Amino acid sequence: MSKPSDNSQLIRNFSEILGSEQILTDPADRIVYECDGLVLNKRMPDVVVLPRTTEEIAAIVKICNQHDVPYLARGAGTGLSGGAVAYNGGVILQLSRMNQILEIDYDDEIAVVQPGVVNIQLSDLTTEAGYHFAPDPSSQKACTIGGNVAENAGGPHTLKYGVTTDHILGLTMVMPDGSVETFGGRCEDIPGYDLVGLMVGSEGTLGIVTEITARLTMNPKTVQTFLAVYDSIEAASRAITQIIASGIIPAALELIDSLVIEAVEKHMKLGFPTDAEAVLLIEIDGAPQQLADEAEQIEKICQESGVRKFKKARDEQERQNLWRGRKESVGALGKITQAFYTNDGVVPRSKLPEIVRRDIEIGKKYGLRVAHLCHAGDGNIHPIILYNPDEEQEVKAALAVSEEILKTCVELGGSLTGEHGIGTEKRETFGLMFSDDDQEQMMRIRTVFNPDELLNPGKIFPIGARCGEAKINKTISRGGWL
Amino acid sequence: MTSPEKLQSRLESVLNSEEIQSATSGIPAQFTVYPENRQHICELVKLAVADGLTLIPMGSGSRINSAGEFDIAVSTSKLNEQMEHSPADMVATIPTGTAFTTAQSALRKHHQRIALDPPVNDSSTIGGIVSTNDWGTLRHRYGTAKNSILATTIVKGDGKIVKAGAKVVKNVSGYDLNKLYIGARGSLGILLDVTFRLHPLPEQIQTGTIRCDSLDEALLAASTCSRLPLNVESVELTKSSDWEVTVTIAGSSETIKIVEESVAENVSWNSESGKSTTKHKVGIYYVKASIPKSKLKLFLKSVSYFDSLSLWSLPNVGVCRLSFEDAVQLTRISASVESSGGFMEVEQQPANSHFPRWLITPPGLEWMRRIKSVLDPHGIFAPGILGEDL
Repeated sequence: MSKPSDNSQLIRNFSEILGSEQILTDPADRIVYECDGLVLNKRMPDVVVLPRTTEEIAAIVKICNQHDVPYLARGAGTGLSGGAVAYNGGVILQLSRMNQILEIDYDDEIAVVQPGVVNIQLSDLTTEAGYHFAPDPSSQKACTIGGNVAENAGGPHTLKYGVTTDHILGLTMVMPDGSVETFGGRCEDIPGYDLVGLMVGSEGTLGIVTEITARLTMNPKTVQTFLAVYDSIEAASRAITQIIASGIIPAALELIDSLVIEAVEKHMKLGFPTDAEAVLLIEIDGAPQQLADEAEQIEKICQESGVRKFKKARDEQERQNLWRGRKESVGALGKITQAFYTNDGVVPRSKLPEIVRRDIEIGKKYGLRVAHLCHAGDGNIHPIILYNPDEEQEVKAALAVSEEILKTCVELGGSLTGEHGIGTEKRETFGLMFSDDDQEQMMRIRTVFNPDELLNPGKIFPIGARCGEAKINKTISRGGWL
Repeated sequence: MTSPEKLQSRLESVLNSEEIQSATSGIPAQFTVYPENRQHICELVKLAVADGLTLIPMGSGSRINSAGEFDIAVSTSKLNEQMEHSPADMVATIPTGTAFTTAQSALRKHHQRIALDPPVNDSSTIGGIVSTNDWGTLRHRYGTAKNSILATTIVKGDGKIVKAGAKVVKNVSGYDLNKLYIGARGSLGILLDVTFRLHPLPEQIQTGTIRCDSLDEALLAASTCSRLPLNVESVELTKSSDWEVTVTIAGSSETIKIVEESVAENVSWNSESGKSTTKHKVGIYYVKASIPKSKLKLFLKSVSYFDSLSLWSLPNVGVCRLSFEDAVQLTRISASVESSGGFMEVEQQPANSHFPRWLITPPGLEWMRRIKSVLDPHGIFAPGILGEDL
């Protein structure tokens, strides 16, 4: 894709199937697509195309194959692991024009949507009928369901309701050979290997999703939300472990530390206590009688773990404010730092106090502050490393802190990523979790679907001599939603 | 096919003689072997590759249900491995040869459980349940093994041990190969252990059965039960002579009043969880069907008049189990499932009956074949057990 003449022919071929407004070649238009949530290393795609139909996507894929050009699909670009960036150049298929909700069937409790539908739109449309789409990443006002499928997105409420893979029944996909395939369907238990389960979370490396049959979840009958204020992260972490161990599965159980509280209060003034070391946002839902029992039990656990203040949201407005403080907190961090680098590790829940302590120690070792937002009930931590992007040493230090934190997560029995994906960001650490043999088993699967690796190359697996791809420098995310 | 004498000799080159048994009743293989450690399984797989032998992985063998014949059945039930349970994390890694009831008993001491309740006997193993993706009443609330399994370890087609997933409740690192292995009936490798997300054991359970005069009445009762403001663990719909709805609720006896006020007054109560999966009569034919929920009523009506039909369904999920005696009924049921947009699997049939496991071809079959061919390139793992070259 480096020779202009090659591009010309490619673009001519695209023009035969797409309108001129569906093909972006001007650098001023393409620059928008040079990165997703990762910013330090950017690469503009050579061409951006904006298909409207499955058939157009199939034709685009065939043209890319003819020209031996790498290509990948992109939704809203809210990803934080570099999964939707054309680091090898080539073509980006921007799917934002495939944004139709094709069908909602309350009898089957499903929705059929195109991949460019924004996550929150599906819940907004179905809430009056008493339903929602359960995966709720904090980017849900912007991220697309196609992106959720690619990354197996989570969110605060996946603690109780599961991640994206638990809510997808069927997929229509354009495969890397240009064929159109349907996997799964409108019901469960499709015989044979679970191809839908395999595709969800494959980071756009096995095919391009063009239609999604998603399960709709009934809205909870009653919801209660609590804020528990702590003077130490250790005490807050003890409460988390105790709540889960008691048998209660909250709808959400989030930890916000003092640095994030400081940012939230500077930005939004929601009344979070700025002298607290950590707050827990605890939400339970379900049957009213059960909630009363669980609320009592949770308050008791919090009291026993040394809570300074335990407060119940009195009404929906107060509940929404608490959630606003959580969901918009990353954006608020811009109030206290020039830049920040967000991590996404997972540890066994019982290791939460240890990982938070060690993260802070690692940050101190490199002279950087580390803030914490955690889907604590899942053991999914988002350490946020604060740094100055103009100081080269701080950039290097931030990268080093990130790598040490991820290593520590794996050392404690956890995972490199709970919901952001490996992408390019963590691929060089993939070997910390998976042996060469483990990886080879996964790569065999990639070979089945994507034998030439033209579809979204350079993602998930460490770059080796085999692929002959250029080594990509480590990258830093610009923030985003967690 | 290799002669029994030669095969035994070859097996003795990688296993101790006490690990080897000749043909066992009900196991479709010349030999059943019980390796005592992982290394022996790896060596066995390498032997199978070298000699072109076929292996059928198993636990106790109770769920094999295959018309095929294999050289060696490989049981994981004698592997000398222990369950790893972290109560605080609510996660357990369980060797696949562990009896399901043994694992649940150990977890129960910590008021935890695997939220699966398929029909089992004392010897049913974790591996057998996972390999067949079997389920019971709790599927209503907790889903299947696919919703509970976090990580797996298998011996793959070259005799190496590989893992997928992570032993934490949230993880998106790499491809989710667990999903492929669950329900693959051992056709992609030999499962050594699986890691489950655990759930709390309810302190009290109330199970009520409502006898209904018609399918319409039963479906209405089931729907109402599903929407009760209670912790509904399961809602089952059964038909043998009458239609019945069984609702299981995690909660105290106070919940009984709510059900009786909302659904029906004539409820028979007890304090055990619903076990309709083992209640229904197992006929000559035994099938599982999955139907879009909106078409379930039509489907149930279309089959409800069949003679000797025993039917058990989770209407809120859209899945059914049916048993019956007549092959003609099987073809009618299949036609009805297909016209509903559903799928089915023949789990059991008479020895002289030769219906394929899948009467309705699933989407993506060619891709499944390709997956089988790359993960089991020598075709040693239970070839054909799923039908359709899988």
